[in-house]
Amino acid sequence: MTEEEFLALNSVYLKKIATGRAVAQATGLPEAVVGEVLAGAESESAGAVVDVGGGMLMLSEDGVRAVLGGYEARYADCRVDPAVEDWYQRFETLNKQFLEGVTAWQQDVGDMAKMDRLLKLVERQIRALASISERIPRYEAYAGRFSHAIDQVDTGATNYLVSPDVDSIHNIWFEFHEDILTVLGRPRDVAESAG
Amino acid sequence: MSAMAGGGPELVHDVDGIDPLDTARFGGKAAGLARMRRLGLRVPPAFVVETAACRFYRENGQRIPSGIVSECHVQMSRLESQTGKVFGRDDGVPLLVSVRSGAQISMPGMMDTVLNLGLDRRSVLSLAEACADPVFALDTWIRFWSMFSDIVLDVDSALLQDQIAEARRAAAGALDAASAARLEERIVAVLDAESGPVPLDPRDQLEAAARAVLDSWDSRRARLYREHHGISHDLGTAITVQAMVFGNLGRPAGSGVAFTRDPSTGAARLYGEYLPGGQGEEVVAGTKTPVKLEEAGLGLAPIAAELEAYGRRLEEEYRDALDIEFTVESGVLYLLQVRPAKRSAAAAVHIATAMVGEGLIEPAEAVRRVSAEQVKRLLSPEFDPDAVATARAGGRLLARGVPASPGHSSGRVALDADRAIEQAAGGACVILLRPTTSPQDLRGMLAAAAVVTARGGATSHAAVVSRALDKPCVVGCEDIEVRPDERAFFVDGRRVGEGEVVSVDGASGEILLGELPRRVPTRNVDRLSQILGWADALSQVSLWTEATSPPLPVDLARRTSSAGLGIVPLTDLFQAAGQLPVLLDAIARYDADPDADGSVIEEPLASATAAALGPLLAAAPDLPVDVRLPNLTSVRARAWVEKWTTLSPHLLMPLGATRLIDAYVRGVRAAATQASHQRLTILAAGITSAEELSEFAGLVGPDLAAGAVLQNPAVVADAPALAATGLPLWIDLAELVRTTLGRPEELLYTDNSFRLPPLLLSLLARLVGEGPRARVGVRLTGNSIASSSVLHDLGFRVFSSSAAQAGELRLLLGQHVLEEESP
Repeated sequence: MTEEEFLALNSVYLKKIATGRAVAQATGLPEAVVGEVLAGAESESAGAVVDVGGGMLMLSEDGVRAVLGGYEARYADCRVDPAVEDWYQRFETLNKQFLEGVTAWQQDVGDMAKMDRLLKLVERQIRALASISERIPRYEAYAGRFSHAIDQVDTGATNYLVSPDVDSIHNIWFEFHEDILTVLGRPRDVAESAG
Repeated sequence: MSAMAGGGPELVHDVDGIDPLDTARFGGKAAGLARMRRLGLRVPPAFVVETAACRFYRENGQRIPSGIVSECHVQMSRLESQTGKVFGRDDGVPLLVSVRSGAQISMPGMMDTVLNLGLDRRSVLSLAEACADPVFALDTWIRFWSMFSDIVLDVDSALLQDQIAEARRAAAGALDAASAARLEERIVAVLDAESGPVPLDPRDQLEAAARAVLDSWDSRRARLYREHHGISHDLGTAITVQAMVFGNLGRPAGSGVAFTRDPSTGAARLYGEYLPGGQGEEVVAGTKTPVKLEEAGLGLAPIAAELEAYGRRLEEEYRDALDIEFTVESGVLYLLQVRPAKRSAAAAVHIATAMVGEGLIEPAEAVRRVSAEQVKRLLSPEFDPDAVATARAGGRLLARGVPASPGHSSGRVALDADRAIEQAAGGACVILLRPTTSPQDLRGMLAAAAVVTARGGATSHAAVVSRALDKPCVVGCEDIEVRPDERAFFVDGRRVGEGEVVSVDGASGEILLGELPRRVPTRNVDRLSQILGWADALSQVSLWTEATSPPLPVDLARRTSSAGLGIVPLTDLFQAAGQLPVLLDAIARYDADPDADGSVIEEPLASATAAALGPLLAAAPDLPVDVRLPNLTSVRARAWVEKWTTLSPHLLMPLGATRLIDAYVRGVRAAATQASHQRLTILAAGITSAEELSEFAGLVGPDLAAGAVLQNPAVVADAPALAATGLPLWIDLAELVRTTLGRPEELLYTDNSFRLPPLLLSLLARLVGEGPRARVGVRLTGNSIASSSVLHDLGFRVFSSSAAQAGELRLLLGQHVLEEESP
């Protein structure tokens, strides 16, 4: 699997269901490249991607296996690296605060202080991502997406906090959580029922 | 500017000496404190570093001029003598301060408040001794370090708390010089490793906090915000430093939050909580049980009375219901913060109308005080409480989970997204029930009326996304076991199959078997009507109510002073009355044989029309009713009419199906005669010119009023001729947007950046500019109500919306006029 294939398929894996355009935006790959890669993966011989209608793509079971294999090949060393484990533990601490912050804000929409505190946690996450981007360079894309969403919120588009139909902070966070868990080869289950 | 480095004008001021109106110079926070102190309210003393210092700092390479540092020392000494406490020494009760940023306009990315600054390993012992409460002293100190860590040093305080837990426990067991020193060493070790050298002397900490305020002015987010809003970067932020008082010092002591009016009902009575010997934050966090102010016992009575008197004075000054944070230190009541109180939707409406009655605010201000969201909440239908009680008593309560998003819905159970979409497409209300949700389920959540999960808490994906979608949601129904293979879920051995109906109460967390009737709650209706009436007076709008599906919104239309019922699509009435097959059959027969006998086309269709329309006219004999005839080119017609693609083309032409139109008109006439209804208008759909409108009026005949729904740019462009007909017109905005841009409305209002295209705006401006020769209304549906203010600006004063959105729309239009008046 080429790096581009891995990036594109992984993005579909993390989003669960996505358009080629959304994959291009999330990975930073040109839309044409994503289209080509996914079309190749969709072809009968590959069968990794399924078009479920309306341009929405999902991974087949083979596709999921291919992505997980891609993680295995790339991040086997991360899984035994105490520095990565430490970084992850810190993320979990932040994750808890983030999810509580989202909920507190949603229950009191209009409270600017709660929103500001929440966005400061996201800024902290952006800095944390910078500290691990040397190990996992594609994490830089998350930082860019978070910054873009923060800017949208700060200039009035508060739907970029939690709206599921834009590249909102909650969407990005959810994808990232899935991503780091897969890097470490951990099941989502525990984290999912907690948040 | 260079004068400010030394010997220039003072940049640090006692808050008592500043002009409360000069927020550009002193920032909003200091000005607020000055205002309260001028009112004679007891507020802890404070000083402010004015915004010019921020400009100096930015222009001189992030250097705090020595003059300012020494001025701050002078002010700190003043705070010491005013409070009788000492700062940064251990020869008395320690003086702690709060440090806040404060620009003229509050903006994102600015520094949060740092509290409890002034403690170190020595003074924490003095505080413990003064309060005779080592636990409180230790908590206060740790709270300082947490805030300093998060806000000034940008180190996750959760991480800090975690790593000092052991040393903290040791100090809590026996707080003395040795354990305090060990704790401080541990804190410094953790923070040093994370962020570099950490100041230990409170004076240095004060400077670091001040620097963090000044740096936050140039944070990426604050800069972007200013650029976006055209605010000058030179405005600068002030720094407010205020003495803190302790709710643990002397007797009596304590702290709390008081509301001048009940925040849940709005009733005018002092309401709040008081925690004797505790800290304010603990009341907010709910970690200890406080005393209710309104049930104040004898010991608390003088404080409650004093707060009540302050509250009245403050309400007169601020003309709003307020929340007052306060602390009692050694028997003296201090006000820490006063701000407009948060309130429930019901309280917002109650307070706004009551304050108009009390002469505190004008009706227009009352319209401003209520949000569209609150109106929507008050008008959203709820389960009939009697029906809920009956269902519970009848053993229909299936499960109780964590209420995650409010609202009430009944619908058929779907266990996955595909099934939810499938059932919703068939017109059913659907409840999506999943073990948990992930982005994969989003399509199903969008199609569902409510979401239930067996696992997960209030911060789970299902909870967050349901709140974002404004759908009822209950999570963590642990008694529910989902068995996808059996297409059912189980509760205590009881099987509920996919497709069975359940009811979800997102506020109580209950899942009940079977459908529960919903109705708009009647409480608060009178006060809400008052506010919406004031909004109407501002906007001069008359609003019609749509009738697209049962139950008929006639009562609701009356209660919301609707100008009439419209647009009423005849197709929807057919559907509701179960007469749709008659319509489809008539179309098929007409298509097969244009000369077919009237007994198989006109007669059945006319009587079906009369039967479908009759109940509506009977229920609303006094209201104007605008009925729209079916349109064979609509999206729905394509889906419903069999062999639509092979229909004979002339049927699809505007007014092409003359025999059908004739049949509808006959049916409408019969229904109107039967109900003695005098105010009925028949609307043509899909026409493309004014000429066709005149032709349609001819078909309708002189005894009934005719009009049209305009759905494409071609007909709207015929504005002068349309107006010349003098017939009533409706703009179907969603359809007009679709025919102009080629995209449905649902895809356009997904974020708040959508604007109506210039072509449409100019066409609409021309139409409304033709003057009041005829009534021209705009039909708004769903998210397109966001365009109501633009249309109001163009001159439209007649709108229609669903009954559910009517209240929101009336308020928004009233508020829009207020915004225009005072930008």
